[in-house]
Amino acid sequence: MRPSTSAGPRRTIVWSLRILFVVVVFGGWILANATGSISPIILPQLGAVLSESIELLRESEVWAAAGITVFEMIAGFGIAAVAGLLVGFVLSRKPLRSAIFEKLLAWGYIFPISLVYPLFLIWAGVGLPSKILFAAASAFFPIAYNTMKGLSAVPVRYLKVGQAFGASAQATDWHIRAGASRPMILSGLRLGVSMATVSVVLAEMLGANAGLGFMAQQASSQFQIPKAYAVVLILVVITSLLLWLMETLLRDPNEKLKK
Amino acid sequence: MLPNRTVRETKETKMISHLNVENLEIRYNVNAAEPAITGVNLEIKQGEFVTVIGPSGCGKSTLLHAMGGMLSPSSGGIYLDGIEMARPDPRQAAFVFQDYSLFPWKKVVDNVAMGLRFAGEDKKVALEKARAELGFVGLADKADKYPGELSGGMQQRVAVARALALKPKFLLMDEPFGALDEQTRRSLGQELTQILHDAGQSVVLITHSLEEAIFWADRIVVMKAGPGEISKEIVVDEPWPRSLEFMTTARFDDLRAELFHRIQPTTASEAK
Amino acid sequence: MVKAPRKLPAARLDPSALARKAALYRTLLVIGFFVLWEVLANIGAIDERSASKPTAILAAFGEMFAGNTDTYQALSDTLYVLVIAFIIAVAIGMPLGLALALNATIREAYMSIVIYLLGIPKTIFLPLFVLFFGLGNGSAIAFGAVLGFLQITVNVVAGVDSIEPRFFRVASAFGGSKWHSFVHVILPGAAPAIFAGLWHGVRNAFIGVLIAQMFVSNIGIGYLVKVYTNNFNIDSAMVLIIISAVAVILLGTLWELGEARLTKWKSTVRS
Repeated sequence: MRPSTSAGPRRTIVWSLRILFVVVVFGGWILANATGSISPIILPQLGAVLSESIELLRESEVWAAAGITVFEMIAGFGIAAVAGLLVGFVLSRKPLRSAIFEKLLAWGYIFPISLVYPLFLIWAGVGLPSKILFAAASAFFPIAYNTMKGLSAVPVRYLKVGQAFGASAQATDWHIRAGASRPMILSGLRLGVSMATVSVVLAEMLGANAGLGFMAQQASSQFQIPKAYAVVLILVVITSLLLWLMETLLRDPNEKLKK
Repeated sequence: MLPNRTVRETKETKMISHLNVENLEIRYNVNAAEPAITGVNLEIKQGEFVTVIGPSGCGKSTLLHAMGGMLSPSSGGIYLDGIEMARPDPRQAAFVFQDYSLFPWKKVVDNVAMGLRFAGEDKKVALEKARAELGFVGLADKADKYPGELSGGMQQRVAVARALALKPKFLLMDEPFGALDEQTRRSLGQELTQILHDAGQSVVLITHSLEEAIFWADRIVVMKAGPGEISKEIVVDEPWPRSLEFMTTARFDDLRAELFHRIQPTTASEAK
Repeated sequence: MVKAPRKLPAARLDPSALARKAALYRTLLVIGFFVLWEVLANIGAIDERSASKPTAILAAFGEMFAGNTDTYQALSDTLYVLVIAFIIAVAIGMPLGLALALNATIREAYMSIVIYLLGIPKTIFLPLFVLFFGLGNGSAIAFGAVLGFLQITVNVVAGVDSIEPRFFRVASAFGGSKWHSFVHVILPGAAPAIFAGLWHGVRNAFIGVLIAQMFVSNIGIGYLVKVYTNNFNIDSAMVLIIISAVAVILLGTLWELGEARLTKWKSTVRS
């Protein structure tokens, strides 16, 4: 907020703090292993987790599971994006319509949807469709809500420019409404991505027969603890990459200027 | 300085266009006790630089919006060469708004090309014309930036280029420099009005600055409030190009004194 | 000849009339949804056994609250776990958020870690929570607290950031100490955002608790929903789902009203 110390020493402090964090986390881990203060059934050897991870990455089983997980995330998000954009667009066309549905969509978003996953298992079985539909259902609400809000809250002054410069109805939609609402729609899509990933991982752990979440849950319930940690680690890396990729794709080109 | 530019086509065309305001009255609300403006008669010839000044609430902005076809008259009418301006047509009369209203999600060049594309111009041609117009206002190198990366003064130049890109017969400017700081306001205002004048561009400009109203005008339209009416038209016959020295002349002082007294709110209701 | 002026593209609708009309239609829509559900279930278009129907849910509601103590037990267990999780979340989230917001060095070092943790799906770590905190309430409390505190931290930072620097300048120009500017500028300035942050904290803690209960626990709403569904007792599962939904929505609405009160001064400053 306020520049306090000069840049040089501050960079050193910042980096020391970062290194300190890493040292505390991994040092604590190693120390706990060495002294045996935390049972290896809870916290396995750091080395064992790393070698297990490398071992796992050599097996095609993990890659197949990762493929399934990523596919479910992308498919769920894709369905939600198409449905959410469409519904948001249609609802934004009339002020009354958006006033009616604004609350309903917001409620859909704050509703703890994970409670409903067991029902999805009954409706769509234990395979991929239940995961994809569940992810789509979770991601739909923020996308539809933001699309509707963004499109129906275009500042009047932009519409006035369109009128003054003779924009047709289609040109107003395409050049003005779409542009003015773009930051909000993109942020809805980014929320959707995060909802879809959360939901897929949860669904795979609660009831599945494939995917990385399923593998992690299996390993931990069978007390293959290093393997459970290794799968969690792989899952963290893969979802982080996916989130980073989607964030990059869904970033507004002029968003950086807003800061 | 700015690159030279050939005189705008509008000046070469043989027939001189006229924008006529005839007995115009506008009520925002049919039941309102008082119309926003009433009984306004005004003729603007192509090539003229007209400034409009008046106290707050005198309806200058309403008049300008009506001249651009943005508001329909309650009675009377706006005619361009005898044809009623029923709706906005930026090729006849194009706007420059006070708050710039550039689209922050479009690059500068796309903002300038926007009006041309709305008018059905091919994208490539529109972009070429837009770049040329940006050169005209001295911003050729900012074409691929976003508006948010430009200063307020530059953004207003872009808004001027956006309007000029359509080669409008009349340029309608609504307090275009009102949001800028004093320094920028003066230098940008002087520079832009000079090049608009040199290009023979007809301009109707609203301002609340006495100096701007006098310095730039071929003719000053003074309005009064309650209801909004034209109280006087003053011709400023100072030759162009005008130097800043003009501001130090007795003639300028007289004009300023006259305007000052005319736009002082005389009653409490006008003061608000 | 008097014509109505052409409309500028501003919305000319009376906002309160529109809101009332929308509320009416919204109520009708929700009622219509339940009626349609009932009718479709009765004509067999949807399978009552897997999707239940409103009248069956109502009947189950009566039963569950009349004879059966499981329901009360699950509700009170969940509320207890949620309250503990939320208290922990506030106890960690508030000081951490203030530290990140007020100290540039700490922020530069650790803010990106918080943002990263906020972004990735925490459900990934569920199996590890179970290892550390066991099968009972521990996992639910811990998972709820983690989800909650991250939200609170980020909102506190955003709240302090939203205070305009000129207020700080005024505070120091009038000789305010750091403590003064904390009490008179930072706390009131950030209060609305912190208040909103607490709501996100509660909501996420609740989600975390429910998820953990479904995943490992043998008590609470999450656990019961899973068990009922697995036993094809969809009616009872629906009762708990609807109770949770209504509770969250009611709490959210109340919070919104509170927030509107807290931010009242903002609109008067701006206009």
